[in-house]
Amino acid sequence: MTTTVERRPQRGSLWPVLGVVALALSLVASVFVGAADITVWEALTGGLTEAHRVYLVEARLPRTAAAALAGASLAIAGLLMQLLTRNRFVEPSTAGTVESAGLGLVMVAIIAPGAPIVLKMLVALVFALAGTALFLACIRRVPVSDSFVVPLVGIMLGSVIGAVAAFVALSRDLLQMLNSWMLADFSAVLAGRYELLWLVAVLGGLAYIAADRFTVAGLGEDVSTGLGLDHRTVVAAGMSIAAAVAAVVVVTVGALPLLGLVVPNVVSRLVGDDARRGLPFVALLGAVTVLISDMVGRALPGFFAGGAPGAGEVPVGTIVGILGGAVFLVMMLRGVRNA
Amino acid sequence: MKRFPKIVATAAAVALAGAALTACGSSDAQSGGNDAKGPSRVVLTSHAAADTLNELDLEDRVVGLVKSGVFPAALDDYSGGEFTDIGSLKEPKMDVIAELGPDLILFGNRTREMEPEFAKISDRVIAGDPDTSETIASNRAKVEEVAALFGAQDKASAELDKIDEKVAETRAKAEGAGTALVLMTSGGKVTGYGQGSRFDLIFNELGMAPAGELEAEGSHGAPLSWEQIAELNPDHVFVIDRDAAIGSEGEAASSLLDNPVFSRTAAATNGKVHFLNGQNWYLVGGGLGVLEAMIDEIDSAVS
Repeated sequence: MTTTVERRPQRGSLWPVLGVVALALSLVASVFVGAADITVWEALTGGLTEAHRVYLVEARLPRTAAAALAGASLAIAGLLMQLLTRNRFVEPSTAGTVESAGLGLVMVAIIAPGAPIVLKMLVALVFALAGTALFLACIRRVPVSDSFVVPLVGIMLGSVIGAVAAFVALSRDLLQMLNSWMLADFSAVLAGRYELLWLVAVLGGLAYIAADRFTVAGLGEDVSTGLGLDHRTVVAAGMSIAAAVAAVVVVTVGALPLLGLVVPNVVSRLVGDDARRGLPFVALLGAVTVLISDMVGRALPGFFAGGAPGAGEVPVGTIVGILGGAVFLVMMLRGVRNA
Repeated sequence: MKRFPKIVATAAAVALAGAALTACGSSDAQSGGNDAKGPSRVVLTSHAAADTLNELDLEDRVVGLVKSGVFPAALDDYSGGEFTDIGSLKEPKMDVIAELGPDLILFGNRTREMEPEFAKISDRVIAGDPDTSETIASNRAKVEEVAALFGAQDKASAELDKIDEKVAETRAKAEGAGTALVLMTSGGKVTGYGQGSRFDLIFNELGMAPAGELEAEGSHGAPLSWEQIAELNPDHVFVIDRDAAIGSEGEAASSLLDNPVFSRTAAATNGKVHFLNGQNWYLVGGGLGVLEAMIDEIDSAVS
């Protein structure tokens, strides 16, 4: 990621530094926010009690990694989907992708409840890919004169798929389980129980390698074909990466609604639309947003309860959802420039 | 989707009301042997009330109850086909109930909102589940209310006195047993319950000291991180595996709790992690026989 510093974008060359500093600060803060009082000083001087050492190694570091990975990758997924559909409102939760992954998880919970998590993830992935393909097929048939129509189609499609999932889940008493997939919550993250999430780092890397192709594909079918690009393949590859990211995140920690919508749009205002330049920023800001949201979710109930450890937590998905909803609304009301 | 059954239900209710007027004009003055006393076509969406009727040997008065989904082992006596399955705890089938023509409906907490619809089907509609804020007292009130309908007060009060004795015994033991936390596991996640929660029986009435104050609202508890649980450091942990209770094989509670953070609690170190009967605690939650079994579980945990 430091390569971007050397690339020196034409304007706002301060952004890479700011981004890296913000990420570093929120990573450190995330490790030191929790029910027990662990100070940075203790950690640095080796004055940790055994309990605190266990908390750090087994719970807080994994949780911090999970938040950063989920945030960065979902933001990248959003960027890819927006580029390839040429619409600023498209992201995994406005294209039916998340709901499809949820439906897949419900199905596997019914058919093979004891299946290993890797198998569950594969099923969720297949469903997410199918749902996203269906979304693409739908928007190809819809006359897209208005940029709002595309996300509306996606949200409707997602609602239909989500309703099917909820119906099946309700009949098998799996609704609570489905809800836990649809809303991210890092409270159960422990060492040994989240590592699949590192897969999304690989997917994010793939997206970065192919970033230029996605930028060209984002110019539209005619232009990119004229430039010698196999448009369909590139779109399929990019959407697949995005769907895979969404599926992995949903399976391991749950969905973070609208994160992929907010982050790329903010970044494009700051540094422009070039995918190769924007992608590291999108990843940084995605990670920082989720890290901070998760810290707020962890600290908020305790703050109102006077620091009692039994106060519980607000799921990070709720906080990200509120944030995303607000930004989505502002974007809609303002009408988006070059959407 | 519910419109059609509602029409059927209403029609059936009108028909039944007519029948009731002609047939049971003097039900209060009903004479004859004790055996014939009280309602003879009971429909239940309350597992607690089903358990009570079973304990009072009145299960032959039951014509239908909610058996879809997981049917608690404690209610095994109702597994026969003569007891019609009227759907699930949360979604009973109104048309099936109406067809049964019940003269008494005992509804559970999960169908509380449907009381007006039940009232259209049967003249006598009573809440059957105890109130979780004072389980023992309200269970007594419920059992006495139901028993009175059938003239079975004597048998009921003997059993109820036995329960009260057990409560006093368990309370005495719980006093010095340290703090407790109730955890429900589901789909790889853990939620905590303390005083004022749906499992308040353990704290409020059986006298366990709560390990810290937990958010009481919400039927699915306060989402706790493992670190919060370790910091609460309860001496006893009572585990309800919701997935086992509802019959889906989620990640088993024991493997979920097997982690280095939870292992630091006093309960885990001293082997005081108790797995409760999830069906009884989560699905039944009361009744003449099951409540006794629930108290026994806590009693043996603190003995």
